[in-house]
Amino acid sequence: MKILRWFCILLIGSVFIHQNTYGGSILSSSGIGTPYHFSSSRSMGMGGVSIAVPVPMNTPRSNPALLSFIESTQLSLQFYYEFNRIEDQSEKAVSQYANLDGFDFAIPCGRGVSLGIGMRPWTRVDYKMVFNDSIASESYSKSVIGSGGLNAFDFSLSARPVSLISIGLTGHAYFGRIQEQQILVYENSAFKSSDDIASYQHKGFGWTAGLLVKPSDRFQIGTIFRPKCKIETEAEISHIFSNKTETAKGNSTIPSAFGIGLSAEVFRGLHMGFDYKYHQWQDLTVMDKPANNTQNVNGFSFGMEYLATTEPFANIWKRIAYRCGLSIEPAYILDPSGNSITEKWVSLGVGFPFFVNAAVLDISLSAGIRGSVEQNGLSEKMLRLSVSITGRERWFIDRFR
Amino acid sequence: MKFRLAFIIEIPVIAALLFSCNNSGNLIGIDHYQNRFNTTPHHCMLPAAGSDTSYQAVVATGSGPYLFVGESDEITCMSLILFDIDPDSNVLDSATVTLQLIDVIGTSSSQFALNIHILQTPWEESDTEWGAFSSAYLGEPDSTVILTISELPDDTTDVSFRFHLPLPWIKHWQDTLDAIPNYGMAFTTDASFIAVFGSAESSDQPLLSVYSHAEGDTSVIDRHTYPMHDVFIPGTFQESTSDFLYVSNGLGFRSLLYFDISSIPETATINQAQIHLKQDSTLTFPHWNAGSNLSLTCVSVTETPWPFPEIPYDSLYTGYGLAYGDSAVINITTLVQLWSSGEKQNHGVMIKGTSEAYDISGAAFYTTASDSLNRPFLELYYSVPDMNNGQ
Repeated sequence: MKILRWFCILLIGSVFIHQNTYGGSILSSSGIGTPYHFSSSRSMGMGGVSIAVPVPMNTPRSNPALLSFIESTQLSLQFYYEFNRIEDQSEKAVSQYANLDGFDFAIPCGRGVSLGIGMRPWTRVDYKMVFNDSIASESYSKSVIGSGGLNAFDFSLSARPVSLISIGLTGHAYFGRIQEQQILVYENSAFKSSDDIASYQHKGFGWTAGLLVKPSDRFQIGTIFRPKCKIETEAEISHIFSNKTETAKGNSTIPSAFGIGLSAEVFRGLHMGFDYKYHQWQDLTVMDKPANNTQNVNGFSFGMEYLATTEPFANIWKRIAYRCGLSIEPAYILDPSGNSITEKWVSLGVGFPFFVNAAVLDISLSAGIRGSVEQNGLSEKMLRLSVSITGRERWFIDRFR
Repeated sequence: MKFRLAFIIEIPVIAALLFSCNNSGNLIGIDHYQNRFNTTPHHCMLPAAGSDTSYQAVVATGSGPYLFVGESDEITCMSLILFDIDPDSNVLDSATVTLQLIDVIGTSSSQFALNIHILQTPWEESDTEWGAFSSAYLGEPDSTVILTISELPDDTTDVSFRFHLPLPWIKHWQDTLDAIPNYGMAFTTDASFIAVFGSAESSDQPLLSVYSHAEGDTSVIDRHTYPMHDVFIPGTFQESTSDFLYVSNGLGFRSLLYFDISSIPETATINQAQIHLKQDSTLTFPHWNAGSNLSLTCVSVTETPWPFPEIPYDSLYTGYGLAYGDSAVINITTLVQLWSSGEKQNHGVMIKGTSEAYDISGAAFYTTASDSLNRPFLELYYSVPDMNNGQ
């Protein structure tokens, strides 16, 4: 309980840094924003491999079936920092972004049954553009600022009915506000500025089912399936000088996803994993209208981890996990010419256990590139640092044994 | 150790937020931008409806700092002054009035006759019309004094005039049982310019000095009195016609215009709304101080059809403008915003002189019946957010 108390304090403190800073990817102006539901820092260090990698010391984020492998009550907090260098044919700019990447709390109830709750970002909208133009010889600039995104509050249940098979189900309560502000400022100071805000409030439910088959101690195969779900969307346009608002209600569709993953211990302490994920992004709708320019996405991840020992009193260097991986996955938005915008990542990661394996600090550093100036007219070179800290305590295990 | 660990995690993240070098907004990747909605700027010019007209309102001119006397550019002015004179049993020796000449409108002569009329009827500063006092203007004066203008006043120097009042007037006014109470005096002149004197509301106010002595005592008792009431009354012998929209300070000419803005969506933001008027520069009005510029005020009329002769208006959201050269521009952005959003009803606007209570300048503008290039119109810059239903 003492360890988790400090983690709770850390979580409350993190609320204060949960904020957006403007100036991210213009691709987030599409649909419901750029997908930002990352796997754990550990998985990110392995290129995102997460579907079939059960590790008792980490809280799973992708496959709810993995929850049944946790051995103690644990709380994970995850943060990330992203540096993005954006470039098109004529200009370059950089942006930075840091945020709390959610938390996960899991309780093993014994006999392979585990419960979990968590909250994390799902999509991110973050861009700012300034257009200059004139009308009737009056010059003006129009700033377009997008912010917000979808979040999900998850409730997971996992069970291991037989030692070979684990199943899990996560219910997602989606919520979040996506906002676009357009500010029109005339050069002539005698003019008043326009300041209009379109706000899209989303809320709804979805679920993800997971399965893990573990035919041996050294090999796992897992799969996840998330059906498409409709969420309610309420749009509102407000104006700075008027109390009149335009409102509209409709439904938005979060597309279905399917994934399959393999992992194996190929050498003593060396685990390798492979994930394939498919997202049916062409089903995406916002306010009952299909999103423009989308494509279905096939994503591939490959990663490995070397952990010499989990023995708590072994040499510290042997207890550190070393990870690497790579992934490739196109963005679900096509460029204006209809070309796919490919996203490639290379990642490295480490995991530091401390408090005699009662806690672990996972750090991953990923370098990625999205699109190319030549083919897509836009490229984004990104560095992403993900840090998660997980604390564990035994709560109910002994009672149920 | 626990605290250190928390700080190790949090500090880099907070530092990244605080010292982040954000993309402050540019056009990178503009082709990839998919707007969720679009705020589109618009520009239009709306003609005034054909109901435009002028009317003359009663203007309370007693609160201003000036008293106008004389005639210029078809405008004639007289001023009324009432000194409160207490009963006094002493022997009157003399009584003088001192007026401070602040300026002249038109070409002044070196001498001019100031006619003084004893008023026979009561009056209030807030309710004086030319018609009620025209007999005082047209009738024979009760006294005339010749004033000499040795030098014209300028911004720093006023010219002081001091002249005697007949002592019987003072005695009459001191006698509370007299058949004719003290209703004060009207000042007129036949001069072809307008003399501008300081009023009781200015630091150059008129002064009545009464000198007397007690029976059997030669020592002089002087009493100085400032006006209890004073007011200027402008009049004109020029016929107003429907060919023009008149705006005149003092005279109280106001113009009414209506612009149909129903084509502007109620969700629009009004960036700028300006009424444009064309001025007929061949018609002359006296101008003073502000050169040839005339400050205009535009208020929202609160009732239609316009209930002449007293048009109700709301001065809470007032637009201001200036007539200069052959045109006038009045900014009514806030007012049009309230109309377009439905917060206020559009019953039209009233354009009046900003200095109605203390000036006599004016202008005549072309109406909607005039040549198309001269007609009044409302120029609008506005923006409308078009909902795109999120792609």
